[in-house]
Amino acid sequence: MKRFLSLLFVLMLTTAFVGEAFAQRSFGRGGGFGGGRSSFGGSSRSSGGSFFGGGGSSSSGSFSRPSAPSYSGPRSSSSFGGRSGSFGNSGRVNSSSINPNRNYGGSSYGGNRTTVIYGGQPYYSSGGFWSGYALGTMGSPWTHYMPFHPGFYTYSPYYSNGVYYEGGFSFTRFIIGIALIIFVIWLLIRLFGGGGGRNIRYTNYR
Amino acid sequence: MNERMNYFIFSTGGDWDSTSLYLNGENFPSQRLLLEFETGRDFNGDPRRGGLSNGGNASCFVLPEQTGAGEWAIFPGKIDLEFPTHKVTIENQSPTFAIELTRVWLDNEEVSHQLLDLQVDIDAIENRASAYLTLYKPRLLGADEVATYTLL
Repeated sequence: MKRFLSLLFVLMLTTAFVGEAFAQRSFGRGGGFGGGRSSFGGSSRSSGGSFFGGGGSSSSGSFSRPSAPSYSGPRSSSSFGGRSGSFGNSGRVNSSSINPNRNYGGSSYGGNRTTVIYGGQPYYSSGGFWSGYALGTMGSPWTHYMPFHPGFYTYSPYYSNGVYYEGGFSFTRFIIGIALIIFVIWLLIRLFGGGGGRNIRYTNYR
Repeated sequence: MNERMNYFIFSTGGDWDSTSLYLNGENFPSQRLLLEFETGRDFNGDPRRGGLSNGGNASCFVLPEQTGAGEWAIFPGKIDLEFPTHKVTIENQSPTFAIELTRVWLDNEEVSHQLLDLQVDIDAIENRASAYLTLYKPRLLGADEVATYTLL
């Protein structure tokens, strides 16, 4: 029973750390979603303008007017000024991101590289699964030494020519992490397990 | 220690002449002294951590020398067992003699949570004297140890 409880404790510990890590990751993606939403909103507004532009200028004017103050004020006024000039054209209208610190190249996550300003420094990220964790190790370096955190399985970011580059997935750290987790489980079983295994030495003393 | 509790002192040098039993400071002539503890095992009989805290079975009594006298309960109380090479102390102050509340010392070191078996059987009528104690010592590295101390 004690052995089962120990295994349950380790499982809960692992789940808690990984869960916390995934929560951080989703928050990290939240920043990404924030950027995506800005560009997505911009593109929809652009396409909406071009789509509804054929229907009539009155509808677009009444539809876009109340929404203008709710979106970013200064930028919308300038962009709307530009859009009004090309209103009715069928060509694509590009919009810039609300967040000036983010500049997604190509499609939002399909691009080869993403430049993020992190701590005042530009950070190059491929935007892959491990990218957020590699970036997270800059903000919370302890995750780089915790095998229960996915950040452990990434190389730490390195600094070169004024730019941080992400580390990416480390297979060596993956092997080390698996070994460490097995060791921790073994240690907990040895410390708190019920004992009584097959490996028993019988001795006699007088 | 409570005044009403039994305090036995058993001492032996390895033969009958040097064997004695005292109760609360007075000589207590007896035919037999029996202490049996079986504890510290799981349902499969394998040793496990915890010793007496795992529960188990225990039988402890003294049979006085005078004819017709019944078995005399040792516990609640305390007994010191002084053998030629070891000293064992067993104490249980619970009125119902709950085995989980028993404490055992071997050579002044408490082994309550390591105890597997303890048997002290001194029978003057049958001319039988045997005593041993078994401890389970889990090791972090290497094999666990089941150590049997032959007391007599």
